[in-house]
Amino acid sequence: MNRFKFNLRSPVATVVTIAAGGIMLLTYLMDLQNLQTVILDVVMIGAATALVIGVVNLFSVHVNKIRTGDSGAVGSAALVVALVVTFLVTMAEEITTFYPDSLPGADWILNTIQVPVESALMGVMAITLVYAAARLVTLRPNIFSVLFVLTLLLTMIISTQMGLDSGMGQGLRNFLVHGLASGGARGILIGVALGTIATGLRVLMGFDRPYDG
Amino acid sequence: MGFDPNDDPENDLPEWLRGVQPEDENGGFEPDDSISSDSEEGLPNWMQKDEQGSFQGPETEDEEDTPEWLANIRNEENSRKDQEPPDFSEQDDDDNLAWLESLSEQSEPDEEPEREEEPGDFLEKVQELKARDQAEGSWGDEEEGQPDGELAEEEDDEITAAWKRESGTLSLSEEDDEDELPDWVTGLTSLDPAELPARRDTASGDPQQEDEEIPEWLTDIRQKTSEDTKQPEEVLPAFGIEPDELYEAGSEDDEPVQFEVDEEPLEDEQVDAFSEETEITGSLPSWLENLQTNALVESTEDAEEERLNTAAYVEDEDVSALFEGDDLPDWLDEVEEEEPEEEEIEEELPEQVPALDEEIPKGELPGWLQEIRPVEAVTSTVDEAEGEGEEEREQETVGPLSGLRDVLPAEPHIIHFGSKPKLSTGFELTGAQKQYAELLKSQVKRESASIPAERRSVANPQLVFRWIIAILLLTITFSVLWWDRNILPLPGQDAIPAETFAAHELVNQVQPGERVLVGFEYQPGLAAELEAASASLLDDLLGSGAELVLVSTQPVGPGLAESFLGSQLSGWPYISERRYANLGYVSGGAAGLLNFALDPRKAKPDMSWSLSPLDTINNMMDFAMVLVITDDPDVARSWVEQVQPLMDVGGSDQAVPLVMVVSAQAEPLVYPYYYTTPRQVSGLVSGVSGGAFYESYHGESLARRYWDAYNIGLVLAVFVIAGGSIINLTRTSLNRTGKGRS
Repeated sequence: MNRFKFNLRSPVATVVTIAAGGIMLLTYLMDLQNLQTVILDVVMIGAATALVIGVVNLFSVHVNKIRTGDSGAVGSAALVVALVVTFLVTMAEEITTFYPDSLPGADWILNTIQVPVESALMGVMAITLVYAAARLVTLRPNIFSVLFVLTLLLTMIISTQMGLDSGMGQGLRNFLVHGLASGGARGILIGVALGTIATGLRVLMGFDRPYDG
Repeated sequence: MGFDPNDDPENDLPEWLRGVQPEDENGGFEPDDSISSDSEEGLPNWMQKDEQGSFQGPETEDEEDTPEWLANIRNEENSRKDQEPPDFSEQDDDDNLAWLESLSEQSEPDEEPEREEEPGDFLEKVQELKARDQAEGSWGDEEEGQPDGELAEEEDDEITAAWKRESGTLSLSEEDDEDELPDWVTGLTSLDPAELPARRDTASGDPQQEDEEIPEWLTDIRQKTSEDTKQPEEVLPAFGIEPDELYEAGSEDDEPVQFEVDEEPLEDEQVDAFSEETEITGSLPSWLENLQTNALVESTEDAEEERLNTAAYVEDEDVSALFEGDDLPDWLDEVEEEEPEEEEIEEELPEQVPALDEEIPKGELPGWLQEIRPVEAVTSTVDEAEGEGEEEREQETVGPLSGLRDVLPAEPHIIHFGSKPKLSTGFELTGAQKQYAELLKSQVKRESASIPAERRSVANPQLVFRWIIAILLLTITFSVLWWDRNILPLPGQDAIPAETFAAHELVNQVQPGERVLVGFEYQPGLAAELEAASASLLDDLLGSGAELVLVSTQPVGPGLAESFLGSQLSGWPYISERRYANLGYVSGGAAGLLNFALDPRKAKPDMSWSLSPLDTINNMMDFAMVLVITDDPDVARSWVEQVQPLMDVGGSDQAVPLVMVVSAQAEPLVYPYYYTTPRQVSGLVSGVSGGAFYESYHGESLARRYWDAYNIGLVLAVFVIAGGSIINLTRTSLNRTGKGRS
């Protein structure tokens, strides 16, 4: 009996993917906006469901870590407590009408906890980058390290008020930011576009099955 | 089936040789301890072994009644035991010789020559049987190994040699000086079998003269022995042989007679015959009696001779009267009294000896050998056993072979042969494959496991340098923020970038009451930078009378938007009165963004689309401008790719402008969308510097607050990086120079 058993998920998923991609492509080529909206509605619902599932999965993983006494149990406990408190406060504030405005709500949690914490991380990263740049030529004393450090110094200098106001600074900024950096970024964007087209075609033709089909 | 008693080595062996056999050969027979304990003291060792259960010596109980010749034997034995170590091989040989020598010396004037010829004949027969056994592989060599077999052979050889020496001595003495020899030795000289009939005739011719010379006790023994010689006639019927047949055979020729004897009664009756022999004889040593008995049983020729001898001596005497005389020693009476015990033992003997009529039991394999026996051997044996019964009773009941027997049973053998094959539903993995699977499993598990970061040991100077950098940057930056003195001016309007100026122009084109869609697509960590860059622009929009519609594809976007507007733009009644519309979070990333751009009402059905500012919104073309505030170039690209085409349907001049406020790190990736024709991004403000440029036109705002700290921080970082790099390069070059010099 097992010999005649096969995985139905693979062909069904492939058919659905190719059909959805082909129809979506047709909606751009033809006046099928309503059909496109329907497909996108399904995608939005699925994405929202995936977000909820992700939150539940995150919660269960950290609960298991707390239960097993893992090394990061303290951090997991903090995450679980913050998740539960934020969820309850947000739900009470947004859905119910009895939640008083004087009590800290979801905005307070965001502005007084999340934003400062993440901003502090960015500040630490800035200090670390400065230190790493200062040590770069010592760790890797080669011409590329020196060139990298010089470019960094010039970019930082032209980003200051002196650099912006000076003519040499403006010319140097245009060369570095709008010339080299934007040229490189454009190349990246063109590469991304070509890669997207190629990947789309391979998925539509069934060569690539990133959905584990 | 013909039976020749001579062919049976067990029957040929005399009793004293049987005692040399191991216990296993005796069938596990063990004599009574009481018997052996008494007999072991006064007898030689080899007799103690041989005569267990069949002879009980009276020496220890009554020394006074012991004959003189037997006392000498005891003394010699005791002296030998005291002098010699307990070496059984040598001791037995010495005992044999000493006993025989003492026996010959003590009984020299009393023994009758005719009685001495029988042991010689029997010993020759024993030698022949031993030689035959050795040729066939005797039991002693097989069972007890070479040392014991050699010991027995040496013992027999020495006994035989002693007898031959005795015979040789006798023959020599006969030739040299016949007068000096005793009478019985003289009689031994004529022990030639060829002369036996003549001697018998002579003996029978003048028996009274001999009786005068023979002592009385020896006469008794002789009578008793003559009674023993009658035993073959009594024993032969036990073998199914009529004495007449024996006589006829003996009269016809001297060859051994082959008797037709059933094997079944032979064993028990033969043992009974031996027991009877043991009962009757008592005056002679047991080994001599056994030799006589064996000889009687083995050869009809010997039986015929014995019959003739017996007829010559004790033909008309009552044998029982001989044992009732008062001249018998007391120890012989005890032997008679204890004979029932011997009978009991000998009655038990047949039980110990496996009966011939019983089937030989099937050999049982040891447990360890049964375990390692192949399964096929067991199953095939069982199948054969079952198959025999099945074939006998199986009869085909169906098909064309119905009614036939012994048809090849194909199906039963298929069913019963071997063990049933085990059907495995999964893969059958070998040991190596299992090891590989375990290895792969462990590697996958290791990949998913979080590896704690290794704590690098950092030298103290580096730690100090790191702390100095942190303290300098934080101290100076926070000092400038706290000081808030506008140390550095904003960049001039002539130096404003074109993309920033375009954004400023687009904002200024927004008419009062027009809806502006603002997308808050940044993370809390970069909120300060983006708020500083966009505060002046939003303030400009609010100043122009635009009505804001907020949306975000980031979960924290709506919250950050509320926070930003409430903290930085709360001075506007429009903001403080919350007349703007916050559509909230749009899930689905780029797809969700496209869905929202296609039909905002369907994408956010829970909103009050009938109220201002949403009442006039049906699609993206209904917005006067779309402003995206983001720190992620991918999100900016999504807006450009998914939303911007819906803002410029047909490429008309009525396209809705897309303005972006991005982080400084995203500027190089977003700028290409501006620097194109037609522009996909109509205006661009990047980072704090872009906000400062915008404020230079519109007025001071949040960027101004950060401008001093931003510039001083940048300069300080430049100095730190430059100074550190120079110091490190110098130190490295100096180290290389020093190494080169050294």
